[in-house]
Amino acid sequence: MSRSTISHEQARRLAARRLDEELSSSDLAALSAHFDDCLACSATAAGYEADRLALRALPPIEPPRDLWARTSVALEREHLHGPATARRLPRRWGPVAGLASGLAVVLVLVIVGTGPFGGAPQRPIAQATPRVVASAGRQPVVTPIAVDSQVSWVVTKGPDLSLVTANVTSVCPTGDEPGCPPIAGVSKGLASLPTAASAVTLSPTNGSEAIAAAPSVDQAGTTLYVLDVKPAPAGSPGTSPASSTAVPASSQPAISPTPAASQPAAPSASPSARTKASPSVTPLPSASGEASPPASPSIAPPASGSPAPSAAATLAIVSNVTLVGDEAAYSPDGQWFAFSARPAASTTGPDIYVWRPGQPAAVAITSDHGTVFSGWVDGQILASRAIPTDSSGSPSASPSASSSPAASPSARPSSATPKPSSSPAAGPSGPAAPGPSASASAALFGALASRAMATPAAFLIQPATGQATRLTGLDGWRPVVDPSGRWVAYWAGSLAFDPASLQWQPAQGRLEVASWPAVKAAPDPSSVTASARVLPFDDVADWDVSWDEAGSHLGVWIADTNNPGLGSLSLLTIDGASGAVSSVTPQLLSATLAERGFTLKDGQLVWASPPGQDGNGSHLSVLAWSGPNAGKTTIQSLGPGVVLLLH
Amino acid sequence: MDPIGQYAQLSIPADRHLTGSPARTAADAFVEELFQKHHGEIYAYLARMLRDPELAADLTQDAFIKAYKAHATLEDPAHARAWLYQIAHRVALDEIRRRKIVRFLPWTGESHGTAPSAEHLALSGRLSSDLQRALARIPERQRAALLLAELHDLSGLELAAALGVSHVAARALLTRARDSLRRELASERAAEAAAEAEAADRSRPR
Repeated sequence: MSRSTISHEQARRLAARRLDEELSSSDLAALSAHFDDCLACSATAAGYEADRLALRALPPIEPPRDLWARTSVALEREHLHGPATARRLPRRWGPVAGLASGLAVVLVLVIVGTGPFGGAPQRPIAQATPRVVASAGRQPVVTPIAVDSQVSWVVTKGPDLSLVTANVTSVCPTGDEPGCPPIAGVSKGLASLPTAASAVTLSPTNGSEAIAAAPSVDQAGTTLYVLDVKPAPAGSPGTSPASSTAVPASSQPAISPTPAASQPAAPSASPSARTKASPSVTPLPSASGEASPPASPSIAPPASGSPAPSAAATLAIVSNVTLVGDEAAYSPDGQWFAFSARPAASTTGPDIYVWRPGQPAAVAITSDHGTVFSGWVDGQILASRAIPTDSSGSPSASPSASSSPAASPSARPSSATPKPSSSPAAGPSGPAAPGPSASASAALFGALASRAMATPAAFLIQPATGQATRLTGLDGWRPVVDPSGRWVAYWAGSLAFDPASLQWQPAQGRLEVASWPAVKAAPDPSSVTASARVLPFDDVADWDVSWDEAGSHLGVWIADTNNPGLGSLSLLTIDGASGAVSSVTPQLLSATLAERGFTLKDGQLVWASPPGQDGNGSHLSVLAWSGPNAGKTTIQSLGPGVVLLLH
Repeated sequence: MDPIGQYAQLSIPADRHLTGSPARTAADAFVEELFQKHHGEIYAYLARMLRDPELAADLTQDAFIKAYKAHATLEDPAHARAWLYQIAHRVALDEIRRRKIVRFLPWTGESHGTAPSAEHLALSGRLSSDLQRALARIPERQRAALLLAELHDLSGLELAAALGVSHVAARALLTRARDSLRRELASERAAEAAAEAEAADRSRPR
């Protein structure tokens, strides 16, 4: 028997090296001797050989045929305009594709609502009060601009949610200046859901309540969970990055159970907890005075057999739905949460659902399968709905449409009071499968959708009763009213039905801003249309708009037509007298490439840049301003264990 | 067989040459030639690194734009291939790093997404073997070393250049990569065997 002179580790290394280079005769001899004594090492070496063969036998991968076409255009642009404008040409596929990889993905979700979880309501997240400390009078921009604000976001790593908070104390003109380093955040564990969350919204009034959207365990759709979040540890937000002790999410149980349907509701800071009335399922009013088909059933929480969230901490208020649109929000008083969704297993269109804190499930308050939530105003839901047009382009008055008066221009009551419908099937304990009435509605939806083109109509809906009032002064799609109540931004034009997404999409038209008081008072849209101000955006296929608290700034994100997940973000200053884009104040942010989703509060805009810009990866950017002075900074740290991206 | 697509034929239509520019530069010609010769293998490398064919196409585009912008830094055209791999490698690592950090999502994006293409589905299938899954689980720098050495046939010095490390470090990385792959593959196959045994046990008549 030969005697080995090398260790098992050395033998394995030599065996691996042997594949890539010639070993010396002494190494070969030592290896051979070791193999004689060690069958396992010999097997490992054989395994290396087998792996090499397997690697080389992997099937070929061919590039897409249009790769040169795309690259050449990008190169041409680079050639013509130089590095400053270089950008990746958009992909043809949607934003979800990138998530399909098996690689770990950390999701960053900008929080909408109020700030760090804790007892008392706190300052809204992303709210900033920039203080210009430099000689603002002499220079239009000063460096650095001192600000006092806080940005928070949620990081999801697998099913774990963490809250990260960062203080923004100064910004610089470009955000890249040496004296203006990226800011870091402080992370704390928040929750652990059965699946990875895709969005989180915080209650504006109850610091311990949040709602998260996550794919169902069985991948049959999305489930919305109400999270009951315990107060943040003292001093965690606002801690300087150097002193922050980021704690893995899993080590900090931060969730306590939200009262289940069968349990008595615990006292809550939310006024809604004291309200007994449960929202009934009430469809939009009918032109004929008949009740519209009863609402589709509320989609019940997961069956008892479904795995529960790990923290036993959450209440599933709706499941197996496909959420529709980017808008989902608590009412400003925190008493309601509204969103648009459709059953994931159905081909029907969206309806509006509402949920009240303390209630076991969300309920649908429309049943036409064509209404989408766009925001809250004056305690009511602002919604829009597509009215199919006939071939001449006029709104149709088909039998289908007649069952829904709000959709018929000939029956445009300024106020309609539908018969409240409280079908048992619509209750939170109702079956998940659509009942007969829902089937009828589905047929109605199909009939409407088959017309392919539509015009928009806007409604105000009472969340408690479902009573809908047509806004006769506004033929606008997805209207969003600024918090001060002065302006409304919306799409004015035609809509086309997209059978792939089962949604109405803008066709011909434009984004406009109009006076909200004028819209409420106008008997028809003509006067509003005459005074509306057109926003300077072309080729609008999809968009997202958000106002600041004062209604003086409007963030507008326009989706790339080839890649809906990417778009350009602009921050417009709105003239307080006319509603037009200010020609005096310079545009604070002009058509900046951004991922879908941004937050805008007073004096602060937060967004994510897409990867690939001058070789950089994606990162969060913060733009803060005060008057004409504006500056940027970026987020450095996104949470524990996360690799930083610094370029 | 062309396992990495490096010999993929490319025909650039005349109107797609970079001739619309005011002046066709040396960089234009350089990157065109580079693309013609290497786009297939660069795409294949990025697709295997990221396991996402669409993203790989984007990153291939990025890599060639970077090559265009940095063409003056290439000292010896004979090393263009390794230089290009170095750019692609950095692009891949940047993307992997980014994916560990940021995914900015609105309330919902699901209704805006489009269905994956048939091309995507076909390629996804090719990226889902046990070997590919094991590859995906080893550290990305090791994965890069293994792919570049075994599938892309980079020599020792080329590999070091592409990875941006010394020759010795590249060799050590490759050795660790082989060991890591061995372990992950064994783990992958053990899990498969256990799953099959469990399935067989369930289907056995009682």
